[in-house]
Amino acid sequence: MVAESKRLLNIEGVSKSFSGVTVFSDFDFDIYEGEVHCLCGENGAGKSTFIKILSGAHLPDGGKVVINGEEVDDKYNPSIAMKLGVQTIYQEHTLMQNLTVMENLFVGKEIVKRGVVDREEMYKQSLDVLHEIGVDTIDPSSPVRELGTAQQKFVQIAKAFVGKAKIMIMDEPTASFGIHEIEQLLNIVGFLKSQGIGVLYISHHLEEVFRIADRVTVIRDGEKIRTYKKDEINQSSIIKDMVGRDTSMMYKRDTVDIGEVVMEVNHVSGPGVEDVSFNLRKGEIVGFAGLVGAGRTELAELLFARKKLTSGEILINGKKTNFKTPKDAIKAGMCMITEDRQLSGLFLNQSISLNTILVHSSKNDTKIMDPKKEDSVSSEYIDKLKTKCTGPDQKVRFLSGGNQQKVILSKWFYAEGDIFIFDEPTRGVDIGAKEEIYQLMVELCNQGKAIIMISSDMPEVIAMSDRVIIMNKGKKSAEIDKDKINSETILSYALGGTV
Amino acid sequence: MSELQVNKAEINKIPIGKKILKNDNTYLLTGLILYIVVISMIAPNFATQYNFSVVLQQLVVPAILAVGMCLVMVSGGIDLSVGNLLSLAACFMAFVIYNGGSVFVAILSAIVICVAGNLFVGFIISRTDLEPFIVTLGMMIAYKGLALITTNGAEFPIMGEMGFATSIRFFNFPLMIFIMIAVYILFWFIFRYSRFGRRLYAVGDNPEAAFLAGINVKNFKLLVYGINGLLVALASIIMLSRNEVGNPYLGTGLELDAIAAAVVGGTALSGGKGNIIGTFLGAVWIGIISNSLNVVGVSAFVQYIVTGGIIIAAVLVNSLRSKNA
Ligand SMILES: Nc1ncnc2c1ncn2[C@@H]1O[C@H](COP(=O)(O)OP(=O)(O)OP(=O)(O)O)[C@@H](O)[C@H]1O
Ligand SMILES: [Mg+2]
Repeated sequence: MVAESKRLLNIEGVSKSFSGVTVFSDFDFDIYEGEVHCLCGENGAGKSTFIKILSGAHLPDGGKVVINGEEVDDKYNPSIAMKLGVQTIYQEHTLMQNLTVMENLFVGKEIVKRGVVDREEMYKQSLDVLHEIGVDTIDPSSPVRELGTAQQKFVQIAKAFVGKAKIMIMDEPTASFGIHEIEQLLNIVGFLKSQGIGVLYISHHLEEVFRIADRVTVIRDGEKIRTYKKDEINQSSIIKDMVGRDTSMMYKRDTVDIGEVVMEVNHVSGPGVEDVSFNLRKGEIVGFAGLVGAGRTELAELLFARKKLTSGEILINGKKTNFKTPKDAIKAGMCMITEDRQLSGLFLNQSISLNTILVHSSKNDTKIMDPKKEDSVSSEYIDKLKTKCTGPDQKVRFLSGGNQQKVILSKWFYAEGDIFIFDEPTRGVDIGAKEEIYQLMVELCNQGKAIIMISSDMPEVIAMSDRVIIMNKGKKSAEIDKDKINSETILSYALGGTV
Repeated sequence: MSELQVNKAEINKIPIGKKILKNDNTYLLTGLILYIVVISMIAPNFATQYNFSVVLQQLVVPAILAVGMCLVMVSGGIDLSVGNLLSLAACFMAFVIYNGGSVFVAILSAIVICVAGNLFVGFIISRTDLEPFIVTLGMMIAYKGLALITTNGAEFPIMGEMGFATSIRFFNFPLMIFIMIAVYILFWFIFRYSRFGRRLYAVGDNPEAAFLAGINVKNFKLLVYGINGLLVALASIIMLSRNEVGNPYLGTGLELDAIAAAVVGGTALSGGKGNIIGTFLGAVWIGIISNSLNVVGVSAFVQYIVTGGIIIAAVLVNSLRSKNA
């Protein structure tokens, strides 16, 4: 690498296993000053486990971790890591929701003048830091819970910056971001780089990786496949190293005959949604695009009766529905894959098998269960989606992020509904598994099912949708047909252009 | 293929031995047997047929309450009121019989009191965001008052009227033992083969996800508390049948035994975790500890300390094991 810059982090021969199952072995990795080093790999390859070792959350079973020239010992833990300048931006929010932005930025490092906290000075410095990293739209005195997902992530980064980070680790930071927010984050990463901070960046959005990486290391099944230097970075070769076969970043789906209308949504309003109408036909995928916060998830919640309509009507197969709870919606053949998987999608402390069968039993009113069948059904979906696990008995908590997403999909595929709402179906899923999920979605269409697909992943919207509906500020701003779908049009309507 | 990826064929091949080793109950049972062996060596009058039958009979009421507690706790709740509710129901039954009412009417009234009381608790817990701990603590105190009112502070002896749980015997064992075994078998089946059992874990683990999976979480919780009420009624009938005197202190402290049994058996206070066999082993543990300490001659005061210590140790072992899993 750049010969004169300093090596901040050096990992040699690190290994880790959980109750006898090896996650990775003999892994080497390093980061230099002012460098963005991306770590790419399939779901369950061991990326998150690796950063948990760096951040001190897990101790390695063996190997050497050298930070700033000093080898760490077995007393290494998160607070030592932070003292050494290793700051981790985890995927979940780790800010204190009831404190203000500035209180979060300075937690444990409050500025004290004559024995009292100097709020004015803290406010000023917070403003400076936020300005420096380029997110000056955030007010330091607003409570964190009032900020959106992306803004919270920026505050987390600002906090790491205040904490004098030398190495910043980001695990899928853009997983729930819209286009603009991704742009903003990449700018921040550029800024950190210019400050000499070494960044370890993990993302399944390969476009981002190719834009910002100085080096890319590919990990597969816990083994390092190769580290690419900047001038060697080559998309198709990296993807091949990741998934072990050729895969294109642009998915080409089969076309499916589209049938009659199954669902009509007429002038629906509710919290965050205003007067939205559209219809959905058998075998069709309707993509919902828009900025984060445009009301797409809120619309899905109305359709699935998670929240109540204030006006408008929904017809399924020509009949007006009157769903009171999601239970009614499920009985009528609806399925909803929610976007926040840990909060509303999974039973983390339960087995894969319980997670898989639950909705099916609600839909079909099966009151007596057959454990053997539950096992075989779950195994079937584990095979189908290539979920990496030790078996249907494994607790979902111990799966990697992308594999947890596959368990949610299993639950709804097995539910055998007719109308599917997918809210960010491939969030956190690797490029190989994405293809498999797309294939399953097309298979659903072939069976005459209809799909509403909410996605902030533009290539996904373009590749998968038969029609795209774009929302802006809770309203539908446009509907475009297959032959007119392109990213410029979608973007301009998402930003508030009207029909 | 990585070591982690286990395909279908291999999954079914996971040796049964490993499954048994991974099971928390194996440890609970092994520990129990070791404990019994050790105590038998210290105190020769521990491992006698007579003593075991005493332990068994004392076990029945807390063990039945522990089933209900396990249900409630797996669903994410807790019920501190069961002990005093049992007292209230027993007092009321004794009151009815003492005043010339039939045993049938008495039993019916116990069922009505317990189920109605627990449905009321369940209603408040499922329809508001009050903590189950607080609601049932309040009910626990209120039931005590009701029991005192029912008896007016006195006792109602009902000798010979309602002794069936102990007087009817099969193979020299009193009826109540068979009732307890039947309750455990029934709930073992429910946990293993019913959708209700699956939903219990789902609701306890993540109520929001359960709601979105088509479960009416509110009514489900109501049902769970209702079932718990039925079990309390059953326990109160057996309790009165054994004691043949209704007094407001019959059930005092039983809620703690039930919670201890469930927790030692691997049930988590946070919900979503627990099982019936573990709960039974936990109930046996709690029963054996106090009996064995008596037999060995440990003073009643010290017994409390030892019991508390063993409960914490059991939970500690559980948590260490699940961390490594
Ligand atoms: N605490 C744990 N106990 C048992 N297994 C674990 C534990 N944590 C992780 N694993 C296993 O280690 C493997 C690697 O997981 P990890 O979360 O590091 O993957 P990842 O590369 O981050 O994947 P993703 O892209 O899906 O987030 C997974 O198969 C997972 O099941
Ligand atoms: Mg991960």
